[in-house]
Amino acid sequence: MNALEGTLTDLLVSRLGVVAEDVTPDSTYEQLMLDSLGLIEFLLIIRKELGVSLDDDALQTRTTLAETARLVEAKGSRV
Amino acid sequence: MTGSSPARFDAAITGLGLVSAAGIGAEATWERVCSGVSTAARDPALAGLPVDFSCRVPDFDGAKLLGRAMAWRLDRFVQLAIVAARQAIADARLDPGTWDGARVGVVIGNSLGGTDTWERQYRFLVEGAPQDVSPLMIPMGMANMVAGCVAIDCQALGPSLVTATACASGSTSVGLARDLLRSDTCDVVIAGGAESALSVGAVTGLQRMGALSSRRHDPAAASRPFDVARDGFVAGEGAGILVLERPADARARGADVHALVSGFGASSDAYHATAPDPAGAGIERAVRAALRDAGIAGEDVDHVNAHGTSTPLNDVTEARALRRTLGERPLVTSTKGVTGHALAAAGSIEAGLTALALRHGVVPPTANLTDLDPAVDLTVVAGTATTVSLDVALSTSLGFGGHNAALVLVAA
Repeated sequence: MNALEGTLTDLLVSRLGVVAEDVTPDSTYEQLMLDSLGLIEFLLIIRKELGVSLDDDALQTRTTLAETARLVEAKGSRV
Repeated sequence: MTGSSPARFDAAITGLGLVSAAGIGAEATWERVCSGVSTAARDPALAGLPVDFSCRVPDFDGAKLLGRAMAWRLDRFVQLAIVAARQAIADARLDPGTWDGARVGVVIGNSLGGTDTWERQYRFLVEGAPQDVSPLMIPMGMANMVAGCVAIDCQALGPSLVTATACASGSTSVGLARDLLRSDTCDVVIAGGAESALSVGAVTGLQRMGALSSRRHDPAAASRPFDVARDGFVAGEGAGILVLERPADARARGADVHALVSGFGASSDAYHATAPDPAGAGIERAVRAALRDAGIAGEDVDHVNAHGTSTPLNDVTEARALRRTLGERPLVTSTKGVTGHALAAAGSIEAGLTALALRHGVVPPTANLTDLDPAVDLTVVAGTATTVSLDVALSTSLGFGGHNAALVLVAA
């Protein structure tokens, strides 16, 4: 897991109650029990905490943590 | 005690869950209420407001009690309800994993919804942008979510209803729950009320109505029902949840019964949006209807857990109605002196405390009652709890909108 994936994991755990041990770079949000509203909340947290705005439909339940990190990175996160 | 009327229908209280400023759990709440020591205290969340004190549930951490994955999606009033419902179901020794969920109903009262959620998200919108608003704002803020989320949590698949009769909501719920048993719609009903409206906007609104005590210099003495120096209620929060079953079903499974809900009466003042009918005719109609429903005469009531909010208007109005309907014999208390006024949760918290009073033969004192208002011609317990054998008790609730509700409880 790279640094950005680690940061995203920390946010998932501390803010949305995802179990840390369940998270790998290949975890999908469906596997992490996040529904569509949970994903929009996570985008909101990413924007507030990392300063990166992604579209509301950027994350799907089948999206993985590693794919999310790449999307955030492409938008210029310095984390 | 008067014998049962032929038509009387009893609902057995087999489970009790209380979360209040007096404690998390029925036992903790009961003990603090019996101590007669008010829970009202300065509230850091209300700092800078004209009324900066409240009766908040101490050390309630939804993330710890329910897990963060559940808690972040729920406003506090729903968290309080779920914790109380779990307590009540465990106390009833029922297992949601095995019960016939289609025969289990939920009826929970709420008044103001998720005020903290609405206010916080509105602030994000006006200080930021639409995309700052949580997608959970609506599902967290809606009042009906209290019943919906309790039903999800305990897999109750029968009717799931919310009553909104303001500060009578918790009592109305217990009455309707009993009807669901009487009509054979359900075998088990999870009933009660929940409220957490201690957000700055909601408290300011109550203060601007003139409903709240302004005793900033001494919050612990602010909630003083029936006392001549009372000047308003103290905003509280909490949840009171009862598990109701038909007595025969409770007996068949060997359940312990706290008390019986034997009568329910409801009425409307149809007088004014917020002021009670000064003659007390509305609450009198509700009390008489509850007694008739139970087949019990007013003079046979041993104990009343009064609405007793500590507002100048309520307490005298209610006292006059109680005096007319019950006489001077019953030992009256208002547990709001300790708990503050938990609005929609008040009626069901007090129904639970009334059941415990019957069970233990103890009437808790009315906190801070040192100088009984001469207009209150009742036997109000003050100072220390009174130990006495109790068979029949009444719990009354009045709400903005002129809603009145009365429950008759009988010792099991």
